[in-house]
Amino acid sequence: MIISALFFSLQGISQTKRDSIVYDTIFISELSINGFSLGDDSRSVIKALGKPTYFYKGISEISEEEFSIYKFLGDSVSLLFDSENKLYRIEYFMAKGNVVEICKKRFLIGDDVGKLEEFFPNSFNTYMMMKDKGAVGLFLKGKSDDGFVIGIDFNIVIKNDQIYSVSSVEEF
Amino acid sequence: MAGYMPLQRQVGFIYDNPNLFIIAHELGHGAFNLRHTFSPESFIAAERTTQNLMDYAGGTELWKHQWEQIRDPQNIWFAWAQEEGEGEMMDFNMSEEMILDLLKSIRKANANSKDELDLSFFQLSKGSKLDVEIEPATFWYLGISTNSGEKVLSSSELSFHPLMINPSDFSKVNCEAPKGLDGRFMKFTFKLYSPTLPPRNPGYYKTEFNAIEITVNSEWEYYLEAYLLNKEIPKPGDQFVNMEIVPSGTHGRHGGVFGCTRTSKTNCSNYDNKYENPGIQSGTQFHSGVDVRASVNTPLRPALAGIVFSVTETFTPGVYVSESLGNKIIIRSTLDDGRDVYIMYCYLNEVNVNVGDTIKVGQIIGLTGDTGNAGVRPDGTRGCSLERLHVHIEATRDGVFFGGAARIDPSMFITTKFDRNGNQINDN
Repeated sequence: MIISALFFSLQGISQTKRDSIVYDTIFISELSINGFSLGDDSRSVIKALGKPTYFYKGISEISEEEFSIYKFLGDSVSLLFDSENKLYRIEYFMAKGNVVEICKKRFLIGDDVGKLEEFFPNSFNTYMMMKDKGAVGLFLKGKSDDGFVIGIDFNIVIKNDQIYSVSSVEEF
Repeated sequence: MAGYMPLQRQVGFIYDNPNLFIIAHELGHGAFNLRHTFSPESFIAAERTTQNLMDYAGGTELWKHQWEQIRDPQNIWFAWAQEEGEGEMMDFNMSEEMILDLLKSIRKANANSKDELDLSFFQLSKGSKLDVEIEPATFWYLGISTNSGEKVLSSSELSFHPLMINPSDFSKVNCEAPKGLDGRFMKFTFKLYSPTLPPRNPGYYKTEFNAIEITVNSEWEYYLEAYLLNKEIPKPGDQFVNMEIVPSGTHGRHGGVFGCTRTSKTNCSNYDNKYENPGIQSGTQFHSGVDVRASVNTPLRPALAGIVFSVTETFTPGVYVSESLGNKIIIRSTLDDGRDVYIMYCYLNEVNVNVGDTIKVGQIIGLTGDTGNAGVRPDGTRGCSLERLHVHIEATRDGVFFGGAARIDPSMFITTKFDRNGNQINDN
């Protein structure tokens, strides 16, 4: 069992079961888009994506904490930053041609869905299984480096057999 | 009143030493759809001026057109659709007493766990009343019709079929408002059960014909269902018996029960002081309500009766708005100790009340939903996955929710209790 766990850890991707449905699991620090990751401050994100097209600052009705929304490239990218100006949630990232890297696996927004079958076989199979029931894409379970937090999860949305967007999920 | 047998009924009754005239007269109504000779529908002569059987002078004559009607079955097939003022010494439209009798019969049969109930006495009946009281509810509209709907038996067929139903087998659908009324209405439909024929064992099978239709204003349909099934009428807090708490989100910041939620930074051990001593728990997260699982458009009933304090209904169902609780209703209730409590219900798709409305327990105040950050983002993903959709419920003593310091655990007003992990600990 220990050897097996180590093996999956070295691979960077493991699998987890939820309601007998299997997903691949990733470390949240191992996802980046155009070089930025969750937890990065807004400056470095703006550096990677250019001038925001929309900015909003408010207080969350839910957590009562200050948050900021930045939108880039028209309305195709929406990012939420927490009160410390750290990237907290990728609400959606739909801008074609941008590089997504997860666990050293790279693909572009707009790539053929076939790449995901190779990179995340468990989540891909689940997606195929759940497609008729309304699944819009692959679901990846996230976990933090310290292993304590259950994790933030990710969606990779598929449209017309192409990778359409990436978003992080932090359910309330 | 000497006798009573409505048009085209196979049942009726005769009072006090019936004579052959009364029996024949009532059979004329019931079996052959004959009207009074003085009926405004087919007026021939004034009341008590002829010797016709269908007059009140005690005669036994039947005239040609009546014999023709008796011989022609088509005349009686659609008698149910005609005015029901004939055949009795008083207005036949179901009285409130008859309506309640029918409902009581169904309730009693369910109390005795009966699978079959013969309601032939109510064949071809129709009636509706306003402000019908069945404690503790007052139905402002309650309508009943039997043997009606799209598919009905002909009157001649009805004479072979008792009005048999299974008292616990009914369907409920939203329906159009009765003529002249506004609002949302629900129709309960019981199907007709018909006797099985040999060689099958004696019994009844369900047909596609409607036996009983009960229409009620939908704010109270839950009461009616409980009443018919002989279940206890809801009391404060009972709306959430057997409710299911949605577990905390995957990140642990939100969701689940009132109180601390886990984060990467801390175990959050001092949650009890969160609102009394704001600021002392830097880095902790706190869930300020209780999340009760509910799929989109589930009718929402409040935990406590009260008066609507505030409503928000500007959000569009399914449209994602970051960090927002969407459409909300806040109801102020006064507890037995005289203190007020304000309870807020969030993420609603529909708000059915206005500020100042008095709300009773069990009344539908809106529909649950996916407004605010429960909605769908532009890329098709949901802020809250379908299996986690819920009503977020908060409670406070002073009516201040956002940023307030007097919030309390709403689960204390809900019958079902949960521990810190969301496990149900009792089910009163």
